[in-house]
Amino acid sequence: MVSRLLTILLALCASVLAIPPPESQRVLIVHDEANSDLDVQSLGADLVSRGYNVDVAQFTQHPQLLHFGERVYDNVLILSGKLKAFGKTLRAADFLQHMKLGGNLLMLSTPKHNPSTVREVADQLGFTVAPKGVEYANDFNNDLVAHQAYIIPEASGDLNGASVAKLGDNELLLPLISGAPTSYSFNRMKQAANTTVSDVFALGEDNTLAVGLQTLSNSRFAWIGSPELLKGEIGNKLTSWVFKEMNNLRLVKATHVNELGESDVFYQVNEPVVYCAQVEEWDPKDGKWYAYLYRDEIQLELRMLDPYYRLNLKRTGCIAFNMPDQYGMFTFHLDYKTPGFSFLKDDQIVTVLQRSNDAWDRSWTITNSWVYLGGVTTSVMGFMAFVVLYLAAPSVGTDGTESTDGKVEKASSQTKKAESSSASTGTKSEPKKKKS
Amino acid sequence: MINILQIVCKDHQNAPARIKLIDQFMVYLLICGIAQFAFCIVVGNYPFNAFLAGFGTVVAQFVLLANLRQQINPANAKEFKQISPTRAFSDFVFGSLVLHFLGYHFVN
Repeated sequence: MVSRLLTILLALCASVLAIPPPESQRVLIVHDEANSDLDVQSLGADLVSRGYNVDVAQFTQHPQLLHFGERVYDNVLILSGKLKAFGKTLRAADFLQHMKLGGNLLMLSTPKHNPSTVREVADQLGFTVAPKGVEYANDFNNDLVAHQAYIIPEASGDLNGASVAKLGDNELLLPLISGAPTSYSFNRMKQAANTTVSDVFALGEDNTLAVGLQTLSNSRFAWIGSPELLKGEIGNKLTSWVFKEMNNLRLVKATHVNELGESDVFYQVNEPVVYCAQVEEWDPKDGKWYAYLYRDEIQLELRMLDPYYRLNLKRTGCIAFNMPDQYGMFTFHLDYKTPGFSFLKDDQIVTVLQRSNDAWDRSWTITNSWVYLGGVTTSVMGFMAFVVLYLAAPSVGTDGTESTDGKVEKASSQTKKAESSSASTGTKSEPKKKKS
Repeated sequence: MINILQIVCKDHQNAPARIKLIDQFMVYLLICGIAQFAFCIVVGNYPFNAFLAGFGTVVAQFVLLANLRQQINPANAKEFKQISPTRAFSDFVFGSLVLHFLGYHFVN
C-alpha cells in the first residue's frame, strides 16, 4: 500500500516534469516473470503518469512490433528474462526494422539474463555485450564515468554484478555510462579459483554499462547492463532521452531567399542570399516545440561537389551571404550532428547562373569608360579627316616612285612640299579640331 | 636619343605633304594612346573591355598608318614594286574600317 502510494506520488512528480512528444507515446514493455529485479508494474505506472500509453507483455505472449510493415509502438522496452531467444516476433531483425522505421528501443540484459537476441542486436549496432555470467566489479569505490553531458551528466552508484559491453568503432555509438578506472569485469562463477588478466572481459572505462545510439533516421537506442540504471534520476534521464523527450530537435523548414525576398528563383553569381533554418526543440516541461537555442552552432555548407562556403548560422537561425563567383548547381547543405541530439539534415539544390550578356552595365553608363569611348571616337574621326585631307593633298609623285635615282626623288619631294604647303597647314590644324 | 629625334624631325621636314600628314596623324594618335594608358594606370582599368578597345584602336590605327607610310614612301619604292600608292591607301582604308568596326563592338 505504501509502495503504491509512493509510486503514485512519484508519478505525479514525473508528470509535472516531463511530457512526451505526440509522436512518441506508444510504449511496449516486454518482460519475463523470472525477471524479478525490477517492478514492472511501477515502471509502467510511472510511464503512464508521464503521458505514455503503455502496453505490458510477456515474451511468451509474442507481442508484434510490426504490423503489415508498420510500426505498432514508438518505444519498446525489453527487460530480458530467462529466455535465450525472444521468439519469432521479436527477432533481432524485427528490432532493427522497428528502429529503421523510427522506433526507439531500450534493452536491458544482465549477466544472469543474457539472451542471444540482445547480443545479436548489439553486434548489428557495433558493440559487444559480455557473455553470460560476466560481471562488472569495482572493489574500490562506487564511481562511474558519465560521458554524455547532454544526456546523463553525472552518475555514481554500486553496479557490481551488472553486465557490461565493449564498444566497437561505430561512430554513432555513445558511451553513456562506463566503469571507473579501477573496475574490471570477468566471469565470477567460472574463474573463481585462478583468475588471470587474460580472463578479464574489459578493464576500466572499457566496461560500458549503458550504451546509447542514435540512428541516422533519428530513432534512439540504449542498452543497459543493470536494472538499477532504470531507477531514480539516471533511469528518468535515460528513458526520457530514448523516448525522445530530451534533446529532440526538428527542422521545421529551411528557406533561402534572394535580395528581393524571392525564393524558387535562379540565383546569379555574387548575388546576396539569406538562408534560414527554423529548428525547434521539444520542451518536455511545457509540452511544446520551442525555437532551439543552440548549444552548438548549426553549420551550413554551400557546395557544388566541394563546399564553397562553410558558415555558422546566427542565433536567429539565419545567415546572409553572397553567392560565390561561380555558376552551376549548388546545394544548401545542412547536416547537424551533435552527439545526443536529433540529427538534422536538409539539402536544397539551386541553380546559380552567370550574369546574362545584357545584365552588365553598358559602357556609356560607366563614367570611366568615357575616356576610352573618346579614344575610339577620336581615332575614327581622325581617320575620316585624314582620308579627306590625304585625298586633297598632292600625291607623292609617280616620278619619285618610278625613279631609282635618290637625287631626283629628293628634288621631286621638295617640289611637292612647296606645292602642298596649303594642304600641310590644313593638316596642322586638324588635331586641334579633334581635341575640341 | 636626341639624335634620333633630330633625324626624325629632319626627315619629317623633308617629306612630301602626304607623308607629313601621316606623321601628324601618328603624333596625334600617340598622344591619344598615352593619355588613355595614363588614365588607365591612374584611375583603374575597370571597364577593361573599353580600355582595350580604346587603346587598341589607337595603337592599331597607328600601325596601319606606319604601314601606309612605308608603302608610299618613295625611298622604299624598291621594296614595294607591286604595290602602288593607290593600292596601299585603299588597303589602309579597308583595314581601318575593319578596325573601327571591331573597336566599336568591343568598346560596348
